[in-house]
Amino acid sequence: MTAPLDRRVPVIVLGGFLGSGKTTLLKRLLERGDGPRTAVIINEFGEISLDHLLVSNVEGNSVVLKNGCVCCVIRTDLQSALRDLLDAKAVAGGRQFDRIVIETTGLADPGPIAQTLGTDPMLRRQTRLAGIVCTVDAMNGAHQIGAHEECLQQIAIADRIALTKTDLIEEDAVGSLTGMIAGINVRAGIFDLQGQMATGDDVEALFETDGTSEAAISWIRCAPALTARHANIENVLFETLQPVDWTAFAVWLSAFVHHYADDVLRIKGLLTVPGAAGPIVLDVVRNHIHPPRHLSDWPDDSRASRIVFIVRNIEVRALKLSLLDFLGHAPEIKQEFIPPALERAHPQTA
Amino acid sequence: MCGACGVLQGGPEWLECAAIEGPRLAARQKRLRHVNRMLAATGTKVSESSGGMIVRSLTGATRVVDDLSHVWLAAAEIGRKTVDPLAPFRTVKRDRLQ
Repeated sequence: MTAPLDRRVPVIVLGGFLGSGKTTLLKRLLERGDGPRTAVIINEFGEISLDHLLVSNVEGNSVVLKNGCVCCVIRTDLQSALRDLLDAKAVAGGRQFDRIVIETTGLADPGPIAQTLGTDPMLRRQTRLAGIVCTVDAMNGAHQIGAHEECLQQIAIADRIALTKTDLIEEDAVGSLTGMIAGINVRAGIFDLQGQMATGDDVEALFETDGTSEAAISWIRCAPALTARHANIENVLFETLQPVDWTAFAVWLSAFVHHYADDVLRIKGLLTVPGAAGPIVLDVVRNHIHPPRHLSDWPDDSRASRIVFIVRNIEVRALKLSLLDFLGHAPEIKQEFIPPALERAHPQTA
Repeated sequence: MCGACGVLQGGPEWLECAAIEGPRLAARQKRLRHVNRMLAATGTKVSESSGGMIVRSLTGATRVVDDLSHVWLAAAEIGRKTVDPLAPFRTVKRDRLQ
């Protein structure tokens, strides 16, 4: 059995703290011109909108949402903007664009935006969350992570992180920041876009939309057997060799996400479920559980089910024991801790 | 589609999916068994009722709900305590983790 073709329009949320280079990154993406066609929604907070003026070819498939943040104040505007774009695409016979990028304000929480895609009936049928990209200013990132909860949450929730302005600081400082980011979100891919090795393909890879691709599920290789930790945010790997009873797991997950809504930042999983031909991909953003996706095959030789929880203020041991108990499984297996996010930025020397 | 599609929140179309784990009735009964395991500490129980679910407390209070997240809300409202799957395994008080 092969996984059904997902024809929904992929949506990528581009977040990042104030001044971290979101618009510059979006401009680089749009200027490439040879990738998938991109419609953009730019959310600006303030009386005068400027960011969209910096994105020269934003006209056409573009919407600027002003005077409010899409994650809280003007979520209905976001719904309307997405619906309008999808209507325009349908009128044009589906040829207008291949993906949508939503650039948020610098203080936005991507969680409610992802939730909007999952809860609006029309958007749920026509779009899918293809990824959350976060820009981090290499010059000021360490300070912003320590001083601003918004920055910390944006990093914790992201799938891919773009380091910006790395050409303005020493390599050691980049390494230190990369380590700090991996402590917050060990499974996110980290891209240094100003580094000597950076190419235009790296920009495209950041906005990867194929949810079943190798890149999209590459996080399973950075799942830590040991936990990574920054401040009160923890990355927890739950791993089990026994097939997962989906019904029991879903009931546990629903109760867990409901009770710990404020402390669940992200959950990603690749599950082996009895009766399914391939693994099932799980994606939870904050307290919203996205519909599970079926893959036609496993990405590696392992048939273990792997779930990464990025949570805060939660006792890791209790989390693991609770899930094991509810599934009726033996304690999880152990494995080496090799976070490729760090490996990518700073290749290990023998 | 598989049994995965019939359990999580996300709209009625997910509840309508055919389950690979067996007939739909058996899948629903299995789900109820697991929900009742989760509710055990709250002193509430859930049962099916014409497309929805009814949560009942030991004192006879009832709430009609239509999805899992509302089951947890109803149990917190009419049960002895909120549904916290980690509670039996916790060794540290939550406020000490913050």
